[in-house]
Amino acid sequence: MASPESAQNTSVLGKPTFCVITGASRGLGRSLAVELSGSLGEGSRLVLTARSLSGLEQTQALVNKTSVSVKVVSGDLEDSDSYHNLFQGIFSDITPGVFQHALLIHNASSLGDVTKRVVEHRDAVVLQKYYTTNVTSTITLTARFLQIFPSCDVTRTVVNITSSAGFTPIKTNSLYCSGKAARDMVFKVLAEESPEVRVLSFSPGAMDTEMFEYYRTHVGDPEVRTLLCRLAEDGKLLKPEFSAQKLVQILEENSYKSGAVLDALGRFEH
Amino acid sequence: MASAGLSGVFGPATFCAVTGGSRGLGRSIAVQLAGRLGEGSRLVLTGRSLQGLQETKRQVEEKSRNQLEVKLVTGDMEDTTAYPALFFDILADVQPGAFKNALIIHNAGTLGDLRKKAAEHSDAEILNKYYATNLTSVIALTAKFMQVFSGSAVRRTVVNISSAAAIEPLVHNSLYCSGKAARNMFFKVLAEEEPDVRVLSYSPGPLDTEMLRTVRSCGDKQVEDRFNAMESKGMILSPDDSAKHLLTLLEQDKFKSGAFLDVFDRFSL
Repeated sequence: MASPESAQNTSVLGKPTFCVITGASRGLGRSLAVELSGSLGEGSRLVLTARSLSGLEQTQALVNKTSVSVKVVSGDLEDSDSYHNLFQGIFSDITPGVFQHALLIHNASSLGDVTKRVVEHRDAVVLQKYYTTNVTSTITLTARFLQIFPSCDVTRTVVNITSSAGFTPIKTNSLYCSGKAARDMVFKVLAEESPEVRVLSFSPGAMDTEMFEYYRTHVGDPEVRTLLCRLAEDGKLLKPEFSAQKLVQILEENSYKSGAVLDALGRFEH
Repeated sequence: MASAGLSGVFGPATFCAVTGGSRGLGRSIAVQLAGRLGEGSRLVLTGRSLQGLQETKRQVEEKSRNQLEVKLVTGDMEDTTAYPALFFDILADVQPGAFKNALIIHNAGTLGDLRKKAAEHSDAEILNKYYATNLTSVIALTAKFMQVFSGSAVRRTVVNISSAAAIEPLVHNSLYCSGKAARNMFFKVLAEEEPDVRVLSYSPGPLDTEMLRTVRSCGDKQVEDRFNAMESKGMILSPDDSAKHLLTLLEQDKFKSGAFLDVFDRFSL
């Protein structure tokens, strides 16, 4: 088990940090950018990436820039041929020795076609794209990140935004469930192999975001739809700011077991 | 031994497809099935090696007593563009009403590059191919299988050959572990969606096959030690024994659909 960073006077976030957030154009990604910008130490850099440049620029406008410089890089994780350029954009202009902490948050994710049951998932090209976006991209981006920030002077933290869908089978969610299961396992193996890297899988809970709204209005299974509508109607959806704050708290405390899967509401721990 | 007439799973007129049938566990499963598939059944074996498939067929025909129709389909699950033709061949000539049972066993699987830690997997194309072979192909083929054998007239069984790696993070095995974890979850969702389909994820245990020999020679001492320990405890099985255990589980038909069962009962999830 990785020993926590000896915090002393500065929490790991309070050091000059290079932080990448994927899927930062809206929803949880945006909230994470805003919350982290208030916690990252002087001289930190926040790199935001997503498909929507305008969304990224809106996030950039909301971020607290007192201590943090912000860079936006648009790109599509579905297109693995473009990773080289995208990663180059993300990791450009890094002067060695400037950052004491490097933080990568894999927040970008897609639901896949939630109208479809397994029997309807016949298009292999669609399936391939799904796993490229949600699994392959996280592995290669992590590999590049760890290459750019080798272990000597820099504490490295990698966060996988996951879901209880990773261990709870949900009808018409075969892609989302299996993708999260794959990701959670990749990060557990990473934690085993690289004990000097802080690895955390974080489940933010069902939140009031566009992704949830899309899910609620498109999910093919009537029982699941009823459940989701009820969550919304009963006011049980979390605000993404709340989940983001929870994650920042956990990162600041830095006492989690590397490779663990934690829930925003503490409902489970794997 | 199950009498062909009594067995609900393997009785007369059973369609059965086994992927990765050219060697190892796939071959053992095929040969074990040969003795159990009833009259009018068809066994389709897929794999990359035609020579391997032919040898499996030879062993199957030696064992079968019902003039079992054995069809061989060579193909590579790494190539998604080849799936339509490959799946067409696997599921071709299925006349409505011809089969009472349909069984598909997703046994084909690869390990990925065991020399690499997760932090070293920087080539997206290699990863895409890995998940194509081990995940995408399984989903698309299952969907096609379910489409061809639709409705309640055919008793359908889907088997996912899995591994303890699906639940245990193993160094150097980020791809294998994550692929198996994804498959297990995928099949649990299938079981939820289709209560009429019998879905089983089966962990065959460490088997004395070429795949195991590859794992043991990956150069990582932790991995070597683990398998040496298993060997000294007599835990490395012959694929025939594991195949028999799988077919017994299917015949007894007591498992909860979507369950993940292990040959040694180390877990039942």
